[in-house]
Amino acid sequence: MGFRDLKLLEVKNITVTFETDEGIVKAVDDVSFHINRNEIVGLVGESGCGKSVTALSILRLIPLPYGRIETGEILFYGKNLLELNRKEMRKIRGRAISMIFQELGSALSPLHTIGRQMVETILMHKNITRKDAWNIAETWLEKVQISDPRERMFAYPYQLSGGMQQRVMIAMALMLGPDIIIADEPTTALDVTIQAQVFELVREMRRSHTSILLITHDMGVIWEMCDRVLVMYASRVVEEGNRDDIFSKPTHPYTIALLESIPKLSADKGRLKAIPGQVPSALNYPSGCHFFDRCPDAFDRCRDEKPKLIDLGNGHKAACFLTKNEL
Amino acid sequence: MDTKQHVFLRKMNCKQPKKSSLLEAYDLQTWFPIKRGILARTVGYVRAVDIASLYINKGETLGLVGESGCGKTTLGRTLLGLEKARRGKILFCGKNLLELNRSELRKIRRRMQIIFQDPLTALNPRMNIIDIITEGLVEFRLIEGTREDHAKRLMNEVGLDEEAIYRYPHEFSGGQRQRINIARALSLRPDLIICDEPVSALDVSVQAQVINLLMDLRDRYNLSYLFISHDLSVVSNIAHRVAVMYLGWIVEHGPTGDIINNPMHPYTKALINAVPRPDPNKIEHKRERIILKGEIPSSSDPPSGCMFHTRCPEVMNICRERAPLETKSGMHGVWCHL
Ligand SMILES: Nc1ncnc2c1ncn2[C@@H]1O[C@H](COP(=O)(O)OP(=O)(O)O)[C@@H](O)[C@H]1O
Ligand SMILES: Nc1ncnc2c1ncn2[C@@H]1O[C@H](COP(=O)(O)OP(=O)(O)O)[C@@H](O)[C@H]1O
Ligand code: SF4
Ligand SMILES: [Mg+2]
Ligand SMILES: [Mg+2]
Repeated sequence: MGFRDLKLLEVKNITVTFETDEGIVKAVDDVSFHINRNEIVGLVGESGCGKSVTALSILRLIPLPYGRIETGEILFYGKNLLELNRKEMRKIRGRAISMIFQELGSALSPLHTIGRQMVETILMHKNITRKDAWNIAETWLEKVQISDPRERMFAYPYQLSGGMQQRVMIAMALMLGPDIIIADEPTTALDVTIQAQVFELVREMRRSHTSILLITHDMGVIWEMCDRVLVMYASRVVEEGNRDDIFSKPTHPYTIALLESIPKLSADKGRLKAIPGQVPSALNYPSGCHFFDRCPDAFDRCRDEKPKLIDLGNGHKAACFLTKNEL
Repeated sequence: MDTKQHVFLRKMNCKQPKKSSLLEAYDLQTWFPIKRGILARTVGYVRAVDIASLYINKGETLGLVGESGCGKTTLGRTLLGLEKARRGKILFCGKNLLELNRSELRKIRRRMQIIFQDPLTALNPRMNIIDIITEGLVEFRLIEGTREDHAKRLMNEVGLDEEAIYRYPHEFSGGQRQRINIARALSLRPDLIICDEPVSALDVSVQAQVINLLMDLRDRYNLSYLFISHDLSVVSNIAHRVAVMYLGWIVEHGPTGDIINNPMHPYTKALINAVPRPDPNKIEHKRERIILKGEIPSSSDPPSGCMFHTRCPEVMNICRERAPLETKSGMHGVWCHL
């Protein structure tokens, strides 16, 4: 089997825009990446950099008509998802690619019991009896360590804590045996000891050969969970590589600065290395490199020209004019 | 700050006997009644703070960590007198705050300020920056010279452009708004600032700027902080000592190094273990994962005995029956039967 065959999902040159009252927002700008079979890919970046929009565009959940995927292809098993009709797309969602959303509210309906929602979802994709679907759902609640799964099937979402709702969503994302799970900040709203429980589950998922796109703003989470990393800044991917490469030889000035600015768990005190300025608004990203106004190494060329991702070998890429092969 | 005002404020400060704490609190307890029915009968209590003792020395930062709902905010508000303690003692410069009359309390209030997590909701959107950051000075009649001078000086101190004093909160970014809050807290030259999750709502790249600012101000003015956060990494970076809270109890406290490197309480151990952290040199490669079972119990129906016994990996019979007492060694204290 050649290297290409390993690619389960390939996102090619996706650009997504939104029409807003203040003007056109380019939320995702020419983003490309792939997910291999059996791999956890991390997508990391600060709020507003385009992580969620990237995820939503894979499942074609960008809110119409304001939002538009302007260009690009999303190849899943070699088929372009952007060319499927609604019915075909609905089959992909949930069954082949499922999503765990950042906001707990957006995926579970407050009107129906957990059990009913799970059973309906199963029946949408599988031709089995209601009773069998019920049993499958209950088994999954048990697998994600929900106590008293039999009773919880009759509970409404508001009766469960945040941690439990998140585990129900994980069960729902898993129960149809998808090829890929897109998890958008699945633990950001949870406490660390509950996060640790959820990650234990995610590790088990991987054992069942599911690929995962894990979105987070936390570099610690990336280190603990991911095989490969995409670093996003202001709508663009600025660096990509194996986890170890990204952490031991970060190359893009943003990745370097980000890693240095994180407070470490240690008793050593002293000033942190902060990144000056703030994340630019999507309405006026710099015209050249988007990191230009905050970059300690910026020079003239960075002002007007957009750097492309340069291959550094071993799948490690960075989009900066200072990158070795670029100079 | 001009010297006249400085001297004036200094005079108001208590003379402190050496080595005594700025703030001491003993066995604080703050419960919220749960009311039911048309008669609003009290049917139970949320035990937000159940047993909490702490002290903060002049110029020192005490970090307060714990997961959401464990009572951190309530403890901070209780220390400020914004929530009423049903039990306990709060000594500020040796005076028991729970026994002071209103005018005495008002004077002391000036010296204890608070910074909240969400910088926007803490700022009145209809007030411009000059009004926001000099409001307290006017109230306490501490204005000498013009309000503009005061406002500009404060803006400089927190690293904002002094020309921006006539702007409104919505014109600033999250990090800048938090600086405005800090300027406001600073305006009255407090001795103690309670920082309640001051960087939790900020972007990673902006967090470090605000943490640095807080550390600079602390060193410049010998400020004391109670630094509340759910993020142990942030706390370990700024705090000299750390107190760990679980379900209304402070279960362990000590110098930051002792807490991070030699935690004694099983909850502290699990909390530290659960912090995801980059480890490119693979020093901790074989860190064994401690995964706590189950959820945090409700603080309206807390477990008997030790609060942590329902999730504790090292639970013994006695833990279910009797609440542990404090075991101290040096400055490190822990509430556990082990
Ligand atoms: N429905 C929408 N309408 C207009 N702008 C949007 C919409 N959704 C996202 N955006 C904009 O797109 C950019 C990227 O957003 P998002 O992908 O949610 O960021 P992240 O998930 O990285 O925090 C932001 O500037 C955001 O304001
Ligand atoms: N005003 C209030 N009335 C009733 N319950 C409250 C009130 N404020 C806080 N609580 C409860 O007290 C407990 C502790 O809350 P809080 O101090 O906000 O915790 P933390 O800041 O650690 O997240 C929680 O269970 C919370 O729901
Ligand atoms: S291209 Fe220029 S501005 Fe952008 S990261 Fe590289 S050096 Fe900095
Ligand atoms: Mg998002
Ligand atoms: Mg709080």
